[in-house]
Amino acid sequence: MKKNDDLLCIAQQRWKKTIRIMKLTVGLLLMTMITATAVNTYSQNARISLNVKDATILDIFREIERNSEFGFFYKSEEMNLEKRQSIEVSGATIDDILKKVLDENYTYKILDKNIVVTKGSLEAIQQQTRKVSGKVTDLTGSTLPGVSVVVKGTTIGVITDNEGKFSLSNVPENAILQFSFVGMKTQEIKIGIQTSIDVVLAEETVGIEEVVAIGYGTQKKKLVTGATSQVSGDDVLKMNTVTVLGALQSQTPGISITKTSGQPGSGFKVNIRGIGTTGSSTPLYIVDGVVVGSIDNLNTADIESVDVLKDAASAAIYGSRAANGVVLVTTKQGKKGKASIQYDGYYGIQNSYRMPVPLNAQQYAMIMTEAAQNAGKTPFDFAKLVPDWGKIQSGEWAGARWLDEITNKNAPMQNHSLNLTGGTEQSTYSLGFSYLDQQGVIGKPATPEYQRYTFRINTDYIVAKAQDFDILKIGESLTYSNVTTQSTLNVNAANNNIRNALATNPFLPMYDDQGNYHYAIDWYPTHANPYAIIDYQQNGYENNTQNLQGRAYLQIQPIKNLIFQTSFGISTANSYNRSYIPVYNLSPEMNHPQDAVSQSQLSSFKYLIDNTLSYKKAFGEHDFSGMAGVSVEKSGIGQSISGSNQGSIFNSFEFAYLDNIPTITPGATTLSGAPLVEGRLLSFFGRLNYDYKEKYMATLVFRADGSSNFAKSNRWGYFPSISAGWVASSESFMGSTSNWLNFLKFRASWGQNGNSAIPPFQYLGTISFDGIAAYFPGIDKLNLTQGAYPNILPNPDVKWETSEQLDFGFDSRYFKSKFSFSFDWYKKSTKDWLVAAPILNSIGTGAPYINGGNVTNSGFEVGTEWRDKLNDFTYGVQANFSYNKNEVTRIANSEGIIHGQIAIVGNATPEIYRAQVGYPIGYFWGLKTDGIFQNQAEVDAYVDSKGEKIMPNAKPGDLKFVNQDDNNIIDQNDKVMLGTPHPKFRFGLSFNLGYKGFDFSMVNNGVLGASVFRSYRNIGQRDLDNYTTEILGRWIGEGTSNTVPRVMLGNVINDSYISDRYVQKADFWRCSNMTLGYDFKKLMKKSFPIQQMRFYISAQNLFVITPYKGMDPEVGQGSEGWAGGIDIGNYPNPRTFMVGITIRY
Amino acid sequence: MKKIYLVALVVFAGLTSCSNFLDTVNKTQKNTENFPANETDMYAALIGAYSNQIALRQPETKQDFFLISELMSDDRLGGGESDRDTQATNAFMRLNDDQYLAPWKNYYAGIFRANFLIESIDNIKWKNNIDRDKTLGRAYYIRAYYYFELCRLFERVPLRTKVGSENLPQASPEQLYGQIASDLKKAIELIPNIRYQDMPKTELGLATKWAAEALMGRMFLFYTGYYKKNEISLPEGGSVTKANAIVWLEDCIKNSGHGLISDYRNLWSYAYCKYYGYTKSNNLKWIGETVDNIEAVYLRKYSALGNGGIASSYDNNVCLMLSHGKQYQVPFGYGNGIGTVNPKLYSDWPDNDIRKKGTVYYAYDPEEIAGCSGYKYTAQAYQETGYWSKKYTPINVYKNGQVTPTNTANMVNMSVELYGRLSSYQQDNSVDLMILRFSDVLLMAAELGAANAQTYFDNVRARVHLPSLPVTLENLKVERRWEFANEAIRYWDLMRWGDVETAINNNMKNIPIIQVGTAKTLTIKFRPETRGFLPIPLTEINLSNGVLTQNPGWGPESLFTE
Repeated sequence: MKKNDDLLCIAQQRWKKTIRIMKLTVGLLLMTMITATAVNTYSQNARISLNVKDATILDIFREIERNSEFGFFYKSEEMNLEKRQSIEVSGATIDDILKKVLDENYTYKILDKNIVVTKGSLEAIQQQTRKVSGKVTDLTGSTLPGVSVVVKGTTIGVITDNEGKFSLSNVPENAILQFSFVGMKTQEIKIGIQTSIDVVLAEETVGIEEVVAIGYGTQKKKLVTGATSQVSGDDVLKMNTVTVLGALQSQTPGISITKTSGQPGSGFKVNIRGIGTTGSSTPLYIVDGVVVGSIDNLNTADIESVDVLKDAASAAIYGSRAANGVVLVTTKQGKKGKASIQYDGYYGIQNSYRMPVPLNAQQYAMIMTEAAQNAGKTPFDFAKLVPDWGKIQSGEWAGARWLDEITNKNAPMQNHSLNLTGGTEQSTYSLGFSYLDQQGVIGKPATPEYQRYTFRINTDYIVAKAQDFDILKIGESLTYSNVTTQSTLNVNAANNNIRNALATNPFLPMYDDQGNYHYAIDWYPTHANPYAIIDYQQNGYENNTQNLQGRAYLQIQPIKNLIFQTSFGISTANSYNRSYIPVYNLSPEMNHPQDAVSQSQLSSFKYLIDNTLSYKKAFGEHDFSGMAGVSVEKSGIGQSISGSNQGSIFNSFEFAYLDNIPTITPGATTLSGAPLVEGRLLSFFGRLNYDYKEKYMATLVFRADGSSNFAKSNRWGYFPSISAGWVASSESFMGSTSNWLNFLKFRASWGQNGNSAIPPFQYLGTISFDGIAAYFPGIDKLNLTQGAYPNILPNPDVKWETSEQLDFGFDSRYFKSKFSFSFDWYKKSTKDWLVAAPILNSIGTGAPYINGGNVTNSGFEVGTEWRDKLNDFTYGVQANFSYNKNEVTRIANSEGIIHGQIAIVGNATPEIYRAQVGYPIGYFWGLKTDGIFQNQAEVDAYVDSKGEKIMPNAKPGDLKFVNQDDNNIIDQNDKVMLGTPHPKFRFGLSFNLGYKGFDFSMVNNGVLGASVFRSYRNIGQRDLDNYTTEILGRWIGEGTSNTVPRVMLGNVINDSYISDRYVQKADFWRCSNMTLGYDFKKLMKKSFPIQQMRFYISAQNLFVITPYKGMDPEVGQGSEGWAGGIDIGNYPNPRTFMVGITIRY
Repeated sequence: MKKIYLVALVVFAGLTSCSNFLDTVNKTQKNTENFPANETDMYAALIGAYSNQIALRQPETKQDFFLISELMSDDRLGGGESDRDTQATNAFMRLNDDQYLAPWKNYYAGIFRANFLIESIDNIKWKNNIDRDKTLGRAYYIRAYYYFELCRLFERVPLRTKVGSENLPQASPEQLYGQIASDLKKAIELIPNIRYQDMPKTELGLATKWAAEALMGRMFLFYTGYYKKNEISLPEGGSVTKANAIVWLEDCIKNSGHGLISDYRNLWSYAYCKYYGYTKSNNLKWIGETVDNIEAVYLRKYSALGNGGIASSYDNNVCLMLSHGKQYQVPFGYGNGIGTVNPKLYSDWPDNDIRKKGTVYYAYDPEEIAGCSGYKYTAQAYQETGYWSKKYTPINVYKNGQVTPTNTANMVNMSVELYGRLSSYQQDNSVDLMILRFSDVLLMAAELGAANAQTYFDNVRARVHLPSLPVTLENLKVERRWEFANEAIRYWDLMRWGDVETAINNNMKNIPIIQVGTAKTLTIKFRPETRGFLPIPLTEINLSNGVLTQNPGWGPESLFTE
């Protein structure tokens, strides 16, 4: 009976609640504002033909709605259903028809396409004048315009204005006001004799109706049984980062996102729930259904949401490549309604900080003198070897400051993005355009720069429609990006401009008398001018990449809830590179006798066809839904071509094209062209979801994938998963706790995923015709004879890597959902990991990929949030915390070790990291030290259990290496784990405050339990490399230092033995973003046609609290995929201050 | 319902149309299923196997067999700057556990490639058996060559004669040298009997029958000398005896077309530099690297295509390493200053032997300095003696003939003039290394007691204007020291004669050196416990999980800590 009191609308879109609310509010608003000057163009122009017999008034309304765009508003109990009439008109206006249908008992009002029908006169209702006014805000204190406020049981209503205010006349006494708004929980408030009321609307009980992406579909968050994290586009955007991953860094527990470098445009190292393999450990990225290699080309303003599938059961639908988790990115989708435009822009200034200070010339001379003295060598004759020694000696010149020279102070950064969304009942669209330009803080005179344009268009169109579902729907999403980069060399120890600047001696002047770059000096000819190197080697450089990715889909729903969808996705990339290196001569080893030009180009294409069929059916309160699909992917279509030559007829970058070099010279001219590595994947998959009363849920997923990377017999991998959930708070026995425990769901899941990311053709012995197989028989010294050899031992048995994961968790909300808490425990076991494990060198060729071992990651994740409001003051705290333990449990070679690369921190250094059973992957391996020998007595007293001296040759001031195996020798048997690059704990912590248009937020993230291997000098190779000022704290006599040993020329074991001297704790707390904003809309007239105009100032990377003594404790870089945390002078993250504006129309 | 069938049909079509979808073709790489397919492929496989002779690039060059052989001899010191690895080699020590991994790895790579070729030799249709046999013979030769170098460096190594991945234990010297002898014998039998001058010029540098015979001689002498044996037992039965070795060496002497060139000094590239006083005053003319050099029985070939990166092994890095330290001069160019010459070599050498000044120069010798910009002791150099080898070292000329002794920019490597190289001291050295010279063949035959031993010995001496001496072992030992100084032969001669310990300990005592500008003395002691061999790389022992065992004398005490 209550239903009959409701104001009903018989619009066709009954199936979509939101639309109904919108229509209702529009109708009410117009109705109550009789004086509104609505332009009723449609109603005046529309011509309707109608032929009904013996119909009620409602029947007639329905018929009109079906034949036109009109919608009716009325109170159903007021309509006389007894009365039946027939009407036949053709080409009549709505006015004509209504006059015929309705008798004098009814009043109607036509407001364009909305017709409000009431019994009696409108004025009669409005006469009982009693005015109620107020304001509606959300939990954060932001005002809510467009909220519909209705007197329950009547047609009286209004919507809030741009400031969230409303004023309602004609409110009967003791009426109930209903406040409703899309996405918010509807509130009913009984009005006593109040005339003023402020209302706070809570978001639709957080998440209950929220929908999350789960791969080939979406699901109500409440029903999700796996472990997934969702981050909204707004949360991504507000971080003002260059890339999406940068914004996720502090917002997702269990996901390790580490910047590989602070250089503009550089990527991230991403591990979901720990690193599970020594091979590729990056997750699978899917943008709008298309598998892509990276999401760095997306602008953060284009993101609708990012969903991360963490546990195996969630990721299983992408079985084959989901072993490292899945990141699903949805770009902004179109929305029905008036076009909405949003502009975001910021401008920032970046600076490096926490930089080490290299020694100046005087300090350097002092240390070198001391080092020679300690080595028993004659003092250096500086006057003979160093130009302008007099000036250095007198203190007049402090030497070259190489690090300062290459530092780009106040590096600018700016971003502008424009987004447009809108649509009608039939079609919606979303467009985005952005421009970003970021300069690097280090790398002058060839300053690194990253420039990106993006353009995006998403549209959906309903072609055919039945009563309450879409029969045929089509749509597409396309993202284009154009990226231009200039970067500085920061790859490894040998090619690293920052390291060069740190190590080059300060005696070498920048310029000579003629103003040219100074040639290397006699003091140390190996050190060439590092500024000049950058100028010559990198200034003539151009790199551009254009990406286009997207998909088009067709969705057919022949009968309700049976949906067939086919989609065609593409991803294409085109890039070119061009460089010019002039003739230069900076040192005997750093010279270029002839100018060099190179050009290269790459074009790649990939397509993906997905067909899915899904069906949903309820049997009583048992809901079933299922999906089955097939997916076909072909990648690596395209080719690359490149060439280089020497001796241009022009000598500038502008003319650096291969056409300008007329001669082909063997040894100097190179040419290459190759197809891309082809890959194919064929997959079948299915999912079955079940729930009972939304209280008990279960999901089954199965996927089978065939990959061309394996021999025929090993191609197919099968990946099942099962998960279940229980919403305990919906149980009746939980009734007593419902006043404080609003929601509690338990989840459990198990599943298997796969990994096939290896180079193809490992199952055959490939033949290499590469340069190292060339020889030179004959008498022509300029003739090369190309040889060939099998470059791997074939492994026909190589097969899928499998990752199996068990997950238990719960989600809960308390105290009117102000507080939420979720927890997950997991254990992820990677089996048969794909690795090119080292084989005996005597086998004589390369190691094939084998299924080389097992690794286990286990840990837990906690996410909590508190949000509340005190009068005008809103606040929130979000915290997440995760723990992960990584352990190798099996390695398939006899040694049980996969060795790390050698020569990482100097030409002659042994391995510093390795993977070994019982330890974390890539742990740092070396000698432990126990302080410094302070005097000869300590050296003599350092003996093993037999009384033999362990380090008899040591001198006071030398490091005391710990002897682990109780013999009198320090050797590799004494090497132990010195630390791990993988943090034990990660946390994110953010605060936000709001007060009357002001907003403030602070986002922090950090890690605990990680170590970094740091070395800014070339260990064991170059005695005369400069030091940082840390060396000033060296040992110079008893009691002076117990950590930094004495300095000494001649590559003493203090330096050349890999020890914990180089391994440091790299725990940190970083304030990644702090923002203060104000919405100037607050100060403007309501009528000003802008919804938001927010200015803000923001600081990124404001401070880092860390015991780490190097530049930036966040070191993603490693020499290979499974290594990390090696700081050889890595590009640090800049500190950025920015101002920005957001305007929404 | 029709629509459902339609949908089902589309899905079904999607499922079935892809049965071959997963088959891909490798478009840039052949594989063992389709390679070698023809004679061209076979030749490429052969070149692939030969290329390992020069595969070591910096910094591995310092572990090149040639360089190690020189450094271990009593003729040289470690030298260099902070090149502690070469100093360690010189002192019979190791700088780290894997110091000698590079040659180990590289020679086994060559052996793998030779094994692959030998196994697939009949997988193709040969147009004639001559080409097949020549290819197969050359593959046997290079396998033997690599094993011989491995055995001299590491003594006991795993014997792999097939492609495969078994974890093999070390073979005994009997097994190893038996296999080498067997391979060389096959090479001698299979490679056609063509005079050196008549062979296709494009094959210069690939093994000839004569090279196989000469290598057999060297190997026979080493094995029977070091291990005190009379013959080598072949794995297929039978043996190689001294008589066999003599027959092969004499075949090479009589029938190969090889011979001695008239002036010993014209063998070496300094004879090319007309600005060099020594060259001018002795009227020298470099023999060059065409077939005119009939003395080169086997060459390690280099090109003038060195260009950094992968191509950095195309030029002769041994020259670069062994050059005098970091100073530009004409004729001697810039390089790493490794392997300074032991002054004892110079002082022991009689002045009447033209080979003395033809091999070593003293940087402060007035005769040497004439016309040069002048050598100076370098501030950072270790173990400088002032004596340098002339044989394999960068040779400079003046660019476009502009003689400007003070302008280093005008000093360019001879290959700039000869082959139009761009001047880059690291990439310019292009001369080949003569691995087996004809004079060695003569002296080996003499040492084995060939019928014409005295003639052979006299021929070698007469070429350098020295009178006849009786062909005794003592005289031969002295002769070999002078004839082959700085050619990576001396150390192995000392080893096989059993003289290594005395020679090293006597000749390397209190050597005066300049170390980082300071005068010092250096004494090197042979470590008899090593028996003269190097340590097996620890990585390899670890990877074998202990199947390989370390050579004696290479425990923790062998760590170089100077």
